[in-house]
Amino acid sequence: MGLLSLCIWLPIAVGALLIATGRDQFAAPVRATALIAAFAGFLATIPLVTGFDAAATGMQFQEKLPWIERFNVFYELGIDGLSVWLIVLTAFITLVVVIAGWEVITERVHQYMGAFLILSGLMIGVFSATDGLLFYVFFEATLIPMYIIIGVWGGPNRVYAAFKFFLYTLAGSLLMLVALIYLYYQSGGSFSILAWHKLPLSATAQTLLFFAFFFAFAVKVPMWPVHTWLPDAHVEAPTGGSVVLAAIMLKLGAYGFLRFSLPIVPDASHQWAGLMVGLSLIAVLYIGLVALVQQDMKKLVAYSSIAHMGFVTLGFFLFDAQGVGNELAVSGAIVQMVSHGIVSGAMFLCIGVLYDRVHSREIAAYGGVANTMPKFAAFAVLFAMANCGLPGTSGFVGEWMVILGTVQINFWLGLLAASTLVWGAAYTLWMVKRVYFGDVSNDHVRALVDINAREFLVLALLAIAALWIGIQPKPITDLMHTSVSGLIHHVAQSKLPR
Amino acid sequence: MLFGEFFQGAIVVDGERHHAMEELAHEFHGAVNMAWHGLLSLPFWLAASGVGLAYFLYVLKPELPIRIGKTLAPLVRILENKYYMDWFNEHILAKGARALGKLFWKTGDIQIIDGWAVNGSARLVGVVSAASRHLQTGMLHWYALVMILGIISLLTWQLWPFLASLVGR
Repeated sequence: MGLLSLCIWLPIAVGALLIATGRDQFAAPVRATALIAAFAGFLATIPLVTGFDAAATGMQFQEKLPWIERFNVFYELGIDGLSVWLIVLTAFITLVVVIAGWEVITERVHQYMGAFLILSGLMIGVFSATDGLLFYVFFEATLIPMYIIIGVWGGPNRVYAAFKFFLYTLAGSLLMLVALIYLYYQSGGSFSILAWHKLPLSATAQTLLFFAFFFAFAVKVPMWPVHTWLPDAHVEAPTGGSVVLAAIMLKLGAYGFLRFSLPIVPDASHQWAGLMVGLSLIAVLYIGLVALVQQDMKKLVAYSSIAHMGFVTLGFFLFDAQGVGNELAVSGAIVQMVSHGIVSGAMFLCIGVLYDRVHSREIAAYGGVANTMPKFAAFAVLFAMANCGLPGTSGFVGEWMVILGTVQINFWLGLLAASTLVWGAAYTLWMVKRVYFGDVSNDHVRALVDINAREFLVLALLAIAALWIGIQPKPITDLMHTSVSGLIHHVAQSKLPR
Repeated sequence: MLFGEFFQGAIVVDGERHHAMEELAHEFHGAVNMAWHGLLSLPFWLAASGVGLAYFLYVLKPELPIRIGKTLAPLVRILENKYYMDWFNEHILAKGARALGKLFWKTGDIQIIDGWAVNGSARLVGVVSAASRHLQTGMLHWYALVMILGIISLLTWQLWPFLASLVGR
């Protein structure tokens, strides 16, 4: 069994085992098993980074087994610089989520832990599949555990939110299935994504494929105007669900643009780049303003996620006058994905810490939390700063690279994109001011107890990650450099048949 | 070494890579010259005259500032309110951004996107099915009538040239 298979199937196997054998009275061993599996899963991703050849083009750690031979479907895995960090991020966030749910989840612990472990394996599968159908299966399968997580451990309106999440994202990705089948026939019966990258396609076919992929991935990212499922899903999801949703599931969509839209239909990507940039900038500006007026902390961070993901799609679809993508912007967008995974995950955990104690997500229910929870407030303010893109934190690196890339293409676009720093600071710091600073506002806040060792550990792990990327982003960008420049070179070539 | 021995080799600027620093180096003629040049420049004398004016107004003639304040009251108010920049930020920028955000949220997200597009498409299915439900009466003679009417219209359509020639004759 290859390393990638181990990363995918270890958490899924343990998760399935927990669901099959766990009982409510065995909560303690279930938690311990889940922790060991999550930690082992994370350790298994480390050799992917240490053994990664940064200079090599093409896929690494490849595996290929026949799956459905009649239709030429293979169990085919491989990673490159675009996906390697997303896999590490997935395993890391899963570890964080398992620790974060330790004593918070008291009912159906085995199912909760099992769902997250299975989800983790499936998401790593999405990031490492190089067979189109395998990708689709993983991509769709991630919906099931998340649907259950929201529907079972969610808030009062969880069923509505779970259905909305499921239907929205499923409807989008059905069109992708049509696109995959079309590509299968066009390529003479192959589901290999890498073969599709080389497949010549007419302009009309490219446009249709582009929009089929667009609907699948834009809903997932989510891009304006198909974003309204996200605030509802976040508000109702349990803390762990929100963390995984924001930190990794949104990246599945952005990753899809990198792996499918750009390389398979480069001419259509050029043609519709204006639309993508426009929608991304709307996400940055419109959603930034919407985030400003939210009264619910989770909704605020959810909208902030949409705005930050707007930056990612902006970076992907910037082309200069010669139709060449901007390496700084694409690398920056990937760094932004990793950074947002850590920072938004941390922000949702912070809200979870408060919610566990006060049982309210309303900003108005708090005030002066820093007086009673100084250690927690220090972490929360750090993550808030990272969310606004303060230099020295991970939030700065990706945004700065994308802004710099945008300015190279067009100054005015860059200026609009950079305004996100203003809105980001406005909505985040205003929330921080109202929740953490000032005098203690009510008896709930007065009775708050500072974070315990477990919560400290979780937040410290995320704080170290956020600062590490902020101070030393080079290892991250070094690993992706060859793949990003290869992608940009590939996308600059027309695939129209001659 | 670009700046002679002044920095004792502590800071070395590569003039080839930093052209702006190289330009500055042409203007640099040693520490004493730099200090002397500072004494001759306008900003120095502006700052110095400020000290002199403050001494005159608040030590020699302390009653004068009050009179000036009364004569130039509007100017004083503008200065005391920092050119009303804070007011502008508070009432125009912050309030405007919040109003715009509320508009985008309530009208854009909730009413248009969620209300019309998302839930509207679900409602449309309901409306269409409610209307089409009336076609299913369950009465066989009604279905037979529709079938006969259908056959008649189909035949009319197919045989129209022939029928037209009959009428024309």
